Amino acid sequence: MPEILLEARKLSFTYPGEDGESPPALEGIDLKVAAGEYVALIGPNGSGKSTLLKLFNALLLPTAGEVFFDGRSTADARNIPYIRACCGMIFQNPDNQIVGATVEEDVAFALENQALPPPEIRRRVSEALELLGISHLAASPPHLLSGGEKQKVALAGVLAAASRCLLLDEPTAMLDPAGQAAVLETLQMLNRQRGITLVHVTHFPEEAALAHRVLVLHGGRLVKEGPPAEVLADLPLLRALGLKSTAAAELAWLLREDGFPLPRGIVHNRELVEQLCSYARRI
Amino acid sequence: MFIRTEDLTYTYFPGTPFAVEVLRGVNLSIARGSFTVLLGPSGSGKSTLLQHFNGLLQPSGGRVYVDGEPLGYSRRELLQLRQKVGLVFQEPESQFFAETLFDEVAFAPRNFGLSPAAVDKRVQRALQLVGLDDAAFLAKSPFRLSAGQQRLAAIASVLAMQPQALILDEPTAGLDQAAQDRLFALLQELNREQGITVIVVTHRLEQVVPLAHHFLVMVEGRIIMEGSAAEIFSRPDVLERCGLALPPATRLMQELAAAGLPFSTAIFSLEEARAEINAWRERRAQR
Repeated sequence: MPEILLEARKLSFTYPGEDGESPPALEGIDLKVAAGEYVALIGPNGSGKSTLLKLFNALLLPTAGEVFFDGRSTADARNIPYIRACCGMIFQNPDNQIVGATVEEDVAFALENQALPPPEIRRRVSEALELLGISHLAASPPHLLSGGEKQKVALAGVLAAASRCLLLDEPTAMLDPAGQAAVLETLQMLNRQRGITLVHVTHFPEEAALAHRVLVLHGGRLVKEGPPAEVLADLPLLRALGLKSTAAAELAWLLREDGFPLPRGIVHNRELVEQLCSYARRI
Repeated sequence: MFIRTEDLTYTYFPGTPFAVEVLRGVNLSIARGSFTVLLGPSGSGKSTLLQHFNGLLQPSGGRVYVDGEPLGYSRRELLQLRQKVGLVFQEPESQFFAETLFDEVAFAPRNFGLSPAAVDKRVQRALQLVGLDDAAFLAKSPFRLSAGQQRLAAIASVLAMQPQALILDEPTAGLDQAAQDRLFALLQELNREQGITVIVVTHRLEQVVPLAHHFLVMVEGRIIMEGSAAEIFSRPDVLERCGLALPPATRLMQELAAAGLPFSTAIFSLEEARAEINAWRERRAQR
């Protein structure tokens, strides 16, 4: 059994101040995320995705049930500094989390708050900048960078604080295609080479297809989970929730409806290419 | 032509060490009643260009024409311009301030000095267009709407000016699929039924390609390509060099063609791809 890094047990959450009739934002979530896993979280707006992320690093505390990071409950205030240091959050709009006047200062912000000695801060900042390939931007003012570069600065800031786990709330929604590709590549590198655990909220099926496991939230409940080939090929479920799948999965589904002999579980372009090429050889 | 620019240039912080020339001689024409998509990587000057169309920015050089007239920048002229050309910013709901949806949408018509009865009518009409006209919404705080509804409400507050042109900067960022579909259906209706000229900056091509008449590609402050979807997306090399993406269906067909399958790559939607592959299968079955 792999080491469990994040766990939700019978987790429910209702936003304070909501009248008694409004439903809880999350209800009865049981979920385990292993260390080093890459999990995508999909679902319509308002399904509870961002709320779940905030519960994972104790920005919110459960109304009922419990959340554990590395075996430590978020309900115990003494655990929170540890949890926040290990479990960093990346928001949709990097402008909302960049505070420094230069890239270097921004990346050092959390470390200064942790009162680390200056040589240690310098070492960690330059390591994080190098890891993300933005060392040349160290002295740049963040507001003059492109969206993709800013999102890398935000990632560097979180990683410099020694995060083992990244909670990503639609990290590419504000980026152009080049910025999106750069951030996705970086996330995969962090997961594969550094073993960083990723929980990635996204509206893009192409992004969810990159994960090891896809979780579907609807109305505050976990309605489906499984590998991308299973979840993203379940077009009836996705359509019922107003979601789409990848272009390859959608097209494979349409062709199968037309009687084309294609197997289930096609999610990536290359899988559809392989299937059509093998059909061309056979017939 | 409804909007036209002539050698438009714009420099931020002119005459300082921080001067950045963002627009470097933009010449473009946008026809009345058309649906135009402006593509370009971040930092290419798209948002800066859009802000010239309703006079938020004044050109450093060159000219902007709206409805045949060169723009003037007196208070009175700008007030008139902004009733003609409505601009929806990125994440427009972050500008919400009113306590009720009604007051939010009524803000611009009230500022234009309309009577309470006329304001009422404008608000009803705008909310009807975006499908938020249920009476229960009117007294609701705009902050209590869902993300998709907030975006629609922000668009309604621009439509309440009854503009002839609607300009939207990345209108789908952060919206789920259902909300994106609703938003594009709204833009299509505004364009085709109401005759509103629509100009959209977006990176999400799959929904917008079937709606658009005209594409402009902007790179480093200049328009480097323009034309129909077929003209623009037949040059994937140029788009890729500019950090732009192809519609997912086009990319898929290109991968199939690259693997040696005899498919056209001038395909922009999944339905077109489906027809192309089915026709191929029938041809093979007949052999």
